[in-house]
Amino acid sequence: MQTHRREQVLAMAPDAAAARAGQGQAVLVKWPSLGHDEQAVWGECQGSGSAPYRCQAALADGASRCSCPSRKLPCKHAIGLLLLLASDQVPAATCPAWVAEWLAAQAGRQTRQTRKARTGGETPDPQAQQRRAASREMKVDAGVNELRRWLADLARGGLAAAQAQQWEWWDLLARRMIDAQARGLANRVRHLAVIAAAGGHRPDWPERMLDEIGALHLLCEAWTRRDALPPDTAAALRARIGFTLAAADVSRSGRRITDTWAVLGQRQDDESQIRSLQQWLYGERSGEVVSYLAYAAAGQPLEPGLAPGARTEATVVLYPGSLPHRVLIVERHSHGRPLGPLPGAGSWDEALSAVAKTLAVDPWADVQPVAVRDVTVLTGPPWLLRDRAGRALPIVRPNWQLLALSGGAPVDVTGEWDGFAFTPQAAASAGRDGQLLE
Amino acid sequence: MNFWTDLVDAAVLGTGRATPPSPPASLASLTAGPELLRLAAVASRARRACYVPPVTTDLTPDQAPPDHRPGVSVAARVRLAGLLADEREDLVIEWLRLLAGTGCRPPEAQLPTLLWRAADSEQLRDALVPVLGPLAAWLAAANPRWDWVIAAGQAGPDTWTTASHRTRRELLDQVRRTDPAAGRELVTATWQGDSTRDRAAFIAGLATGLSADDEPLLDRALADNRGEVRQAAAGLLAKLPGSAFSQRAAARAAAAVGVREAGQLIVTPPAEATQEMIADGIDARPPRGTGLRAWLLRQVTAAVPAAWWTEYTGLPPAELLAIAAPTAWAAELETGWTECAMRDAHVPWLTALLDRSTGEMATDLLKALPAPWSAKLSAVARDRILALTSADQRGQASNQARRLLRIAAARLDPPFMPDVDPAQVPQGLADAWAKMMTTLSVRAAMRREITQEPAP
Repeated sequence: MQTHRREQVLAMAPDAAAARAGQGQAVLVKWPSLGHDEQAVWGECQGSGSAPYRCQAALADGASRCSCPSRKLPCKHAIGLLLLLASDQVPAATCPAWVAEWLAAQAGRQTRQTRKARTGGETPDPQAQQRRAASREMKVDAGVNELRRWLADLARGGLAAAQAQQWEWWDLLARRMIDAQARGLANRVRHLAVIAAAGGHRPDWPERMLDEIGALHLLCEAWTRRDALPPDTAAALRARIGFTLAAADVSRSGRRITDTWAVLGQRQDDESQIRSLQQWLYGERSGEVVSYLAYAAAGQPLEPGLAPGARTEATVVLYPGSLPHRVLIVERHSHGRPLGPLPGAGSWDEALSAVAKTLAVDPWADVQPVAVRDVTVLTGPPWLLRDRAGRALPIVRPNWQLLALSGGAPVDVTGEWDGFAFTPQAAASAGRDGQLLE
Repeated sequence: MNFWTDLVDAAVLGTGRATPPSPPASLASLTAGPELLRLAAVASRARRACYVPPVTTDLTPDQAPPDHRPGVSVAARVRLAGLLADEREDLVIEWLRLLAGTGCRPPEAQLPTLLWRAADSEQLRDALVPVLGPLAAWLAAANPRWDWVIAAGQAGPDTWTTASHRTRRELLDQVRRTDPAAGRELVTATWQGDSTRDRAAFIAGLATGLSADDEPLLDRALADNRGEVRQAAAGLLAKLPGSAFSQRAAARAAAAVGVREAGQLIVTPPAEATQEMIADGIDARPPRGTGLRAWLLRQVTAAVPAAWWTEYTGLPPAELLAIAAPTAWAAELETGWTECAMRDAHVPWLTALLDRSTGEMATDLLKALPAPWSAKLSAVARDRILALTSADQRGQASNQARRLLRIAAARLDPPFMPDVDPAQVPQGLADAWAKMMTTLSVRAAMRREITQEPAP
């Protein structure tokens, strides 16, 4: 049995130091007693004190408790314990009373939480809520107006002038957008700064920059006319500007899908002030592709998604708004199983045919998950992926791993299309199981 | 002609200097805002919605020739990926050696990372080359940084005269594995013209597949006018029990050391270095502070195979060491025996020497033994390391003990995990101990995984 894979466990660590310390604990010699059953893994760890620490982790969601004084969650002992389990070093056993009690308490807490989520918890003061919402909208109004003026100046001065600007020039505006509580706008401004900075060695920078400016202008326009938009587009607009919904509200009212989800793409950012994890989940039966997204402040644990590069039976709830839908994982029904063959359309034409429909609802859907079969890697330059019909998309940068997996033969590939280049994220050569690319 | 690209061109200059192109009728929907921004919003979305990848007529590359070796298990592949991610080159090298033993092909997905790393690391390259297959050569053809793969792959007897020093060494090693005589002929063919460095390396390369047939070539090398070449030849000749060289060496050793029936050692070091001794690679110039006779005795003791001493005296190493102790030449004898034990990786001698050794000596002895250690040697080494580290309760020689644990982590044969109650580990060594245990458990897991049934 292998619940959380090594990299998943390490992703749970609140920071790099905890991940390192956890690896130091993943040594049998530190654990005089150790065991696991279907629900949990537990052990007693000899720490610096006289009594051993009792540490336990639930397998379903990785929740853990430890009697050590560390305030990090999970602590290094829990990480070590899960790492030992991931490498098959923990014997199966009957769970001792102290673990059973904790599991029962956990289950009780979850039921209460679910019930609370269903009933909406305490009834908030509707008037206070309305006041808060109105004040936020006013802030966003002000931010949007400032962005409009800035965009107009940029259009007059030209992209070449903007490209020569220093990071601080862009960052100043991004900060103003954060002050206006419009994080989505801030992120797009920072993306413009990245395009500008890469300008020297990316000949397509003017196209990318104008594309992003067009999206920003459309966001400003849509915000002004938000009352006239169709509900789906209005929801997408709010999500793109940076309005978030409480998980409890989503799990109460969102559409639920139970399916076998294959994680066919993942990016994790541990470097920024806010850590993030994004996964593309491909539903085997529903055919839906959804996005799991988790954020955490530096030093805080990231809520793990599903096992990367594996298939997991799980129930998710869709957030309204941006497309492909962001989801909340509400229940995992199985452990990660090996990835089978990859899904995919027979040609780029077919694979990209959904883009127009998506843009009709959410015109800011810039990054789309795409799966295609039987494409050949051409090593250019530029590197291309050519389908059976002879049509080819450029790939972001040479991907030797993909080339090695293909051996020159057609491969099935999943990845991201950003409107300019394709980023391969998983691949399967003929007749073999898919693999996540690094 | 293309509205979007015309619009981009205008945007680069800015509306202060250029006028945006007039849009086609189909893009006239958005009405608010400055014209360029309006057009950018609509045209950028339209471009995305209507994007059709262009047809390319680039030639389809040749496919990599099929590799008929089986693949490794998923667990083994995941392990290798983890070792590469953690940059544990030592363990990656060990993993590759284990792979070579299975006859499986390296996992395709990790091959590029292996090739990148091996481009910068000679040790990794040496471990990787034997397991590379047709896919690596095919990849290398597309990446100039991987030229060395092609060079290694093309090495054949016909490239012997032209290949680089390293490629020639690898080639000799390959040939010696399957056909020692052919390897010997390669060395002989270019002997006259080869550099000292080449000759010394090629003679050392004859260690693979060494047999009595190599004696004439080794004798020729023993007469070389460069010391490095002579030394390499002497080392190998000592390993050939029937050679004239080893008979001379044995005669010298027997003349220097004799056993009386009472279990007493009679030591008579050579009085001077004869022409014959010098011709056999014995150095007649002692280092400053060492007497000539002591210097010669040490070399004479070391020049025979470690096993010869037991055959000659009928005594096991431990006893020889014990009866040598009271003699005036104990230090020289022990040094000589240590040299030949390390050279021959002779387990009975090493065991006996380890038993008497203190921390530093033991570290040197163990360090001299290349991994992988045999089961027998691992058992001996483990016990010695345990004894030395647990004697270290006060932590006085902790650095020494730490070094020992690092060596043990890297070289013990993983079934020989020190089976120790964690409470017995000296406080100051707990971290080093835990690290060793982690490394050993990873190495044990590597062995299990690599023998698992491969995934389809």
